[in-house]
Amino acid sequence: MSLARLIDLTKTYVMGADVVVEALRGINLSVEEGQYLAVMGPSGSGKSTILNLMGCLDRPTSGRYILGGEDVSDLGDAALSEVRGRRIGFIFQSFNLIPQLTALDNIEVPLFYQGVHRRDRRRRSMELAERIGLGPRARHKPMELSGGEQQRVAIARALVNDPLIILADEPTGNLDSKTGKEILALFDDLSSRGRTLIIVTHDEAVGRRTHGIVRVADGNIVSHEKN
Amino acid sequence: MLSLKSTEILRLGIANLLVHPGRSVLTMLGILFGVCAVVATLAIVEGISLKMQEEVLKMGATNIIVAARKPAESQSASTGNQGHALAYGLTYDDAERIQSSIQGASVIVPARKIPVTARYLTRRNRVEVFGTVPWYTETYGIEVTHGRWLAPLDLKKMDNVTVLGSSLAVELFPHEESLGKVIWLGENAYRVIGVLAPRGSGGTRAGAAGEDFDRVAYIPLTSASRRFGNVILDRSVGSHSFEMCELHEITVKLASAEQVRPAARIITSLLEKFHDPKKKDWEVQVPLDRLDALERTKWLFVVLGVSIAAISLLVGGIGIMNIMLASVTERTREIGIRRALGAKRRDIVSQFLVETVVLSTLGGAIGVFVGVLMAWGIPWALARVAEILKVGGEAALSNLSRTVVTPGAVILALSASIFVGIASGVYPAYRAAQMDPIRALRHE
Repeated sequence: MSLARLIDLTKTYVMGADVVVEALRGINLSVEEGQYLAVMGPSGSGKSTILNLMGCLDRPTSGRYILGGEDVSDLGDAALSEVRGRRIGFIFQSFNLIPQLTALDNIEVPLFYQGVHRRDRRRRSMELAERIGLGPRARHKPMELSGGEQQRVAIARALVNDPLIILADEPTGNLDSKTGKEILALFDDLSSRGRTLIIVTHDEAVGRRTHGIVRVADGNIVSHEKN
Repeated sequence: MLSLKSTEILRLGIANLLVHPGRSVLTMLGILFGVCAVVATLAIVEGISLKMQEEVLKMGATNIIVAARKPAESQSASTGNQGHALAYGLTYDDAERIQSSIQGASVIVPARKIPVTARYLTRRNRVEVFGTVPWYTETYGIEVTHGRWLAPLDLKKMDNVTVLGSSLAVELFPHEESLGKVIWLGENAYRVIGVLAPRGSGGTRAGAAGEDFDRVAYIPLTSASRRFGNVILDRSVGSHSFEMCELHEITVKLASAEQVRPAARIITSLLEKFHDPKKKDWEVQVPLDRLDALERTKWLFVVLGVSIAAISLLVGGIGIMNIMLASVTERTREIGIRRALGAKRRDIVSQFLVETVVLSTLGGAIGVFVGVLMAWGIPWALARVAEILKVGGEAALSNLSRTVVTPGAVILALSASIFVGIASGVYPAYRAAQMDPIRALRHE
């Protein structure tokens, strides 16, 4: 059984009286456990919309989205928040750390909303900070960290709730190539440990490191190559 | 309601407020001043009301005072109609009738007041001679500091003895012992047998405003009738007037407060029957009624003060709401991040609500503290000002000489500030919670 299945998924935005944007026109995709996939395509092709739907940040206009055996396409806002908190790990291009919190506090945010006790949160975040190699800088605020360090914190945050699937949106887009490579090495490492990863990228070199590339254009999947 | 432990939410709220400590303090100021105003106003009102209550109680809550009133005073006095004596007031018959009709009247005290000049050696003073009976002390709290009060035998023998009010004693005998000395009250000599402790003025009493109980010479009622007669010649500057008045005042003391109003009705109807209805020369005063009136007046001031304070609380609340709306906009991205990482709408609502409630409650608590300090400081500061300006403390400021902070006022002020916090936080929190997480995440 697939970890995540997208069945005839469409997403239509009504922008005005008669302006309707069809962002997705019927997507079918199956993600197996432990898969490392790249989603590629030009701007406006709908790849971000796929990521938003898979991350339960949005609901499809039609079609079904089955995540971990549960149909989440019609869940209400509170239930969707719950799914995001427990089953999804997000990594963003612009890191999206909360500026007033320290690195450790940032890593703990998903656990905070699950009601995990303070002590357990701290233990888990220290463990992860150690694993991503943040070391003594774990108590610094995001502004005091380099881009690479910030993205490491974001990766630790994505792992803290032990999610089913990690979704990364252009994770190396804001980094220089050397730091980008370090981050990608971290991704390879996660994949080799059996994590399921979806990465949206423009960069063919990034795509080649994955198990397969899903190419999107005009709201359709045009090809699904295996590497 | 809260999906997180409230202590966690509280900790998060405080941490967020500490990110901009200066801004938080400024936001808090509106509530602080509002609450401070509530506490200080209520303390002043309470103080004034207590002081007035005490003055009324000095007149006795179980007393009824029947007072003589001079009808159309201006006519006889200003026209200089010297040959004509104005007859008015209460009579001994009235006193007897009251005595026999009121059951449960424990004491009935008749009194008359005669303005005279008191003399001792070369010292002279305009005073009031107050002819009364020994049991006067049972209706009014009187403390004798030297000597003794009037005795039944004094009344029976119509002795020329007098007990002096405290100020009068000091004025006539600044340096020497007064007991046993003989002073002149009008045309007659009286021996001083006692001096009273200060009683203060009966400022709150109707028709007797400014009456100074401390510049009075008390003599037996019988002596007063015999020596002064029923005709009183008042020789004030530039005019003479004659009056005929047997009794100026009859105080009826009842056993309990419940009996006061029925008794007052009986006395009123008695006097209506026996006195000329065209010339109402009497008046029934019930201190208990004044107490009720005082209570109503107090509430009027409480409502007035609280309304004014409510306006400043409203302004404070608008201030908080304004800052929170700005803060929500500024933190749009943070809201998006938190939503993406599993925060529900109600988590966001409680996060922002906690911030406003913490701000307003803290502001309220500091406001209460400052308000209590102000309530303390006002009487002190006014006393200093009075000293500098050489205004007698007895004057207009005396009503502000005490302020009382009641627990009710503190509870009211604190709950008002918490309410303002919730009220001003709801809309910004709702706005924050309604944001679309995807758009919030893209917000720059």
